[in-house]
Amino acid sequence: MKKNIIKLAGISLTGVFLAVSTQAFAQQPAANLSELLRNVEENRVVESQEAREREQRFQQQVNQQEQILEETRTRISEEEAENTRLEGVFDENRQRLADARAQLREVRANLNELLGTIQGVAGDFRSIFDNSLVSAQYPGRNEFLDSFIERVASDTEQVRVDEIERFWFYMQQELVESGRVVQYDDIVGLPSGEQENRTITRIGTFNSIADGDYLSYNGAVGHLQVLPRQPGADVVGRAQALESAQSGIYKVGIDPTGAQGGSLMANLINFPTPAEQVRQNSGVIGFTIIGVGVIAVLVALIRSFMLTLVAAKVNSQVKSDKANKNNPLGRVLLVAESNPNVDTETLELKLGEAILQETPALERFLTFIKIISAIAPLMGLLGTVTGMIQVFQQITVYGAGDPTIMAGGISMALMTTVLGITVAIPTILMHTWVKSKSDRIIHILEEQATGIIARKAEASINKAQG
Amino acid sequence: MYFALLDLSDAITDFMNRGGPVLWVIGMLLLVKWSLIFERVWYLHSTHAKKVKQTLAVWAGRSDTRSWRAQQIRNMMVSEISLDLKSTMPIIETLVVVCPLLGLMGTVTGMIEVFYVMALTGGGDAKSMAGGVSKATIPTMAGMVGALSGIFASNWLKSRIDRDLELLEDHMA
Repeated sequence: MKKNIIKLAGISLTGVFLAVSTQAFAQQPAANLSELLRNVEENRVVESQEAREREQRFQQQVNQQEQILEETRTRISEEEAENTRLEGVFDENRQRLADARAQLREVRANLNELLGTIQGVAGDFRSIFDNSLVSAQYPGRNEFLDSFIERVASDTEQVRVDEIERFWFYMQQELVESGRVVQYDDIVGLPSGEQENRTITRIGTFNSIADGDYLSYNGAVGHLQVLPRQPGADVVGRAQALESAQSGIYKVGIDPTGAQGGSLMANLINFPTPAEQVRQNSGVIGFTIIGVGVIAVLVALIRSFMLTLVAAKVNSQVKSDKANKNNPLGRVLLVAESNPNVDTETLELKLGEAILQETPALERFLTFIKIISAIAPLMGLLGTVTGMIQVFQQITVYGAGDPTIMAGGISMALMTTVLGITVAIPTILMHTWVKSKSDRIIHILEEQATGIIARKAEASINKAQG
Repeated sequence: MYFALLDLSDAITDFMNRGGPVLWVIGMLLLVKWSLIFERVWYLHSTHAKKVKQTLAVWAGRSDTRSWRAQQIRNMMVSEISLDLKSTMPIIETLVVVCPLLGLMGTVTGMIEVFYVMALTGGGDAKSMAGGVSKATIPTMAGMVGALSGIFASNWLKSRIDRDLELLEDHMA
C-alpha cells in the first residue's frame, strides 16, 4: 500500500517534469530517471548551439543600430545648422516688418488720430444700433459695423473711403429716421410664439405699433415682437388712430424711457393685473371676504327683486277698491274690513298689530346685509394686521436690510384692506337700496293704511247720504 | 376754441390717469350723486310744488277737517307727498358716506403699487414710486371733496324737505 503511494508520487513528479520541459523534448517520453538525465544533457547541447547563433544575430544588429545612430547624428547637426540659418532669416524678417510698420505709422501719422476717432464713434453707434428700432427696419447695419470696426482697429488693413462714407450714411440714417414716423411691412413675433407679417408704424426711435399693439425690439432676436401686455385702452386707441391716419397732427403715447425708449412698456409685463394680485396676495382672509361679499350681494339682489314685486302689488292695491290678500297692504285692509263696526281706537290697535305682523317679512335679511357691510372692512383690517405680523416675522428672520422681502408682505397686508372696502361699498349701497324699498312699503302700511280705510268709510257715508 | 377744449380734456384725462381707476369710480359716483341732488332740487320746485298746491286745494275743499277720518286722510296725504319727496334721499346720503371709503380704497391700491414698485426696484428709485403715491393721494382728496360737498348739499336738501313738509302740515291744520 505504502509502495503504491510512492510510485504514484514518482509518476506524478515525472509528469510535472515533462510538463516543464520543452515541447520537442516532451515528444520523447523518458522511460526512467537515467534516460531522463540523458535527455536533459542532449537538450542542453542543442540549446547552447542555438544561443551561439542568437548571439551572432544580436551582434549583427548592434552593428546596424550603431550605423543608424551615426546617420541620425549627422542629420541632427545638419538640421541644427538649417535652424540657425532660418532663425537668422526670421530675425531679419522681423526687423523688416518692424521697419515697415514704423514706415506705415510714419506715413499714416495724420490718419491715426482720425482712425481712432472713427473707431470710437463706430463703437458708440454699434451699441446704439443694437437695440434701435431703425435697425429693425434696416437690418444688416450691425454686421457691417462689426467688420468696419475690426478693419479700422487693424494695423495691417486699410479702410476704404467708401466704407467710411457708408458708416457716415448709417449715422445720418439713424439721425433722420429718429425724427420720422414711417410705415413698412415686416415680420412681427406674436406672444404665442408665431410670426406674422404686419404693417408696422415706427414713431422715431421711441415706439413701434402694429395693429394697435405696441412692439418691442431686441437686437438679439432680430425682429419686432408684440408686447404680451399692452398699455391702457386710451393709449392703444390713439395708436390705432395714428396707424389709420394719412396726414395731420395726432396725439399718441410714446415711451421715451431707457436708452432707446420703451423700457417702461417692457416693464408692463412684470406688473401683475388686479386679478393676479388678488390671487397671489389675498390669502384665506381675502377669499373669505370675497365669499361673504358674494353672498351679501346675492341676498341683496334677491331681496330687491322680491321687494320690487311686493311694491308693485302694494301700488296696485292703493289704486284698487277691493282688498287683495296677496300683498301686505291688502292683508292690513282686510283686517279693517273684517271688523266693520268697531270703534276707532280698537281699529287702530288691530291695524297696528296687523302692520307689526307684516314688517318682519319686509325687513328680512336687511340686518344680514348691514352686518356684512360692517364686518367686511373689519375683516380687511384683520388681514392687514396678520399681514403685518408676517412682515415682522420676516424681519426677525432676514433682518430689515432687504426692502423687497418686506414689500411683498406689506402688499399682501394691503390687499385684504382693499378687498374689505371693495366688498363694503357695494354692500352698503345695496343695503340702502333694499332698505329704501322696504321702508317705502312699511311707510305706506303705517301712514296710509288708516287713511285708505278712512277714505273708504267716507266714500260709503257720502254714498249713503247722497 | 377747439384747441382750448382739447387742452381741457387733456388736463382732465391726465388728472384721471394719475389718480388711477378708483378715481373714475369716484367720479361716476359723484356724477350720480350730484345728478340725484339736482333732480331733487328740480323736483322740489316743479312737481312737488304742483302736488302741494293740488293737495291743499283738495284739503280746502273738504267740509270736515276735524274728525278722526279727516285726520287719517290728512296723514295719508302728507305721507304720500313726503314719500315721493324723500324717495332718493337715502341713496344720496349713502353716496356721501361711500365717497371717503372709496378714497381710502384708492389710497390702499396706490400704496400697493408703491410697495410693488419697491419690491421690484429695491426701493432705491423714489421717482418710480411717485406714480403710486399720486395714485394713493389723489383719490383720497377726491373722495374727501366729494363727501364734503355732498354733506352740505344733502343736509341743505334734508332741512329744506323737512321745512316744506312741516309747512304743508301747518297749512292743512
